[in-house]
Amino acid sequence: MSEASISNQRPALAKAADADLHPTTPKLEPINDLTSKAGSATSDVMRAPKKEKLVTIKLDIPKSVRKSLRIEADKRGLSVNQLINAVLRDRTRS
Amino acid sequence: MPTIAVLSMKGGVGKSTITLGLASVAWERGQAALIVDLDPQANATMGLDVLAPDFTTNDVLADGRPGIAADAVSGTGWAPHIKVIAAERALEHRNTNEGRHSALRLRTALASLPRAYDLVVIDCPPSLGELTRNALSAADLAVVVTEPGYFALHGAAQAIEAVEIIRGTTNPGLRTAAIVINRARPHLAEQQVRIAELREAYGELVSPSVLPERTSVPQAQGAGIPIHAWHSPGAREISELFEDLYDEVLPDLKIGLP
Repeated sequence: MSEASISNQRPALAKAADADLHPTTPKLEPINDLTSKAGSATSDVMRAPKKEKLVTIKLDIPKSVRKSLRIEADKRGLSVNQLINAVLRDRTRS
Repeated sequence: MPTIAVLSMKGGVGKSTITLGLASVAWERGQAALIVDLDPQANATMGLDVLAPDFTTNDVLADGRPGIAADAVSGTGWAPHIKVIAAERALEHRNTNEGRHSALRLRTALASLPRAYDLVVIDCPPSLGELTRNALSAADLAVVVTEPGYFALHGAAQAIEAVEIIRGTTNPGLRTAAIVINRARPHLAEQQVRIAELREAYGELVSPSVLPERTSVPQAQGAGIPIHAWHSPGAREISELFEDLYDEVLPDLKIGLP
């Protein structure tokens, strides 16, 4: 089978989600830690994670970015919403 | 066709120079070559005069699907028969174990692509990390590069050990084709001692093509052209040594052989 025919049968290569990320940028924390603001103090650990109020924001992004987000989220076993939450929390250190 | 990984555990010994030198011989002989740049410093990519490639080895390894590397092949400024899968700084993200079969991502992504070329050369980063494991798992032959210095010789020993480990795990067909001494100044007594040590330890594995330090090499790299196209006595000397190395490592690709 030629390379061309193989190429025609599968979705094309896309840019890696971290292609624009400098290698020294800290990696994302596991999503389980990112969905909670609970600290490592004993009292926090024993309590159920504190639930935060969720808000909706509208964001315009290029289709290519959305595609990269979907690919990266799929790779990490997350929803796009969870991935964006993780990235934003990581970047804003909140 | 043959896939060669060019490696050393020490940086700055000339891995990209050897990669570009082998590519230059292919350029001179009209043989189709694919350079796979697995070094996030992307020096081989720069030396091949590649302008803003759409995709890189970072994208290929992040994707990892069988045959996907074909989508990332770019042209070079050298000639239509010299191709590259470029590197970029973000490739450093892939230099960690990313799960099951992590070291086999490049081999899987290349799939049958090497068959379309007379030669595939993989330029490794100067580390024993996941990128080098991927390169060695995808290669048929390893060319170890060293300088005739104490630290570089230790780097060469570590590289040969790495080849043995990969041969015993993910790639039983891998073998070390040659140890190449680069940037030699043989008139220096210290270097003579180190070269003798290397030959004593590794015998015929040490290539007779000892590459001297010549200013024409960085000049040609800076100009983004093959060393064979750089017209100076030093460039001609180095070009001939690269041809000898090419024929030594790849005897089946010698001109005139079927």
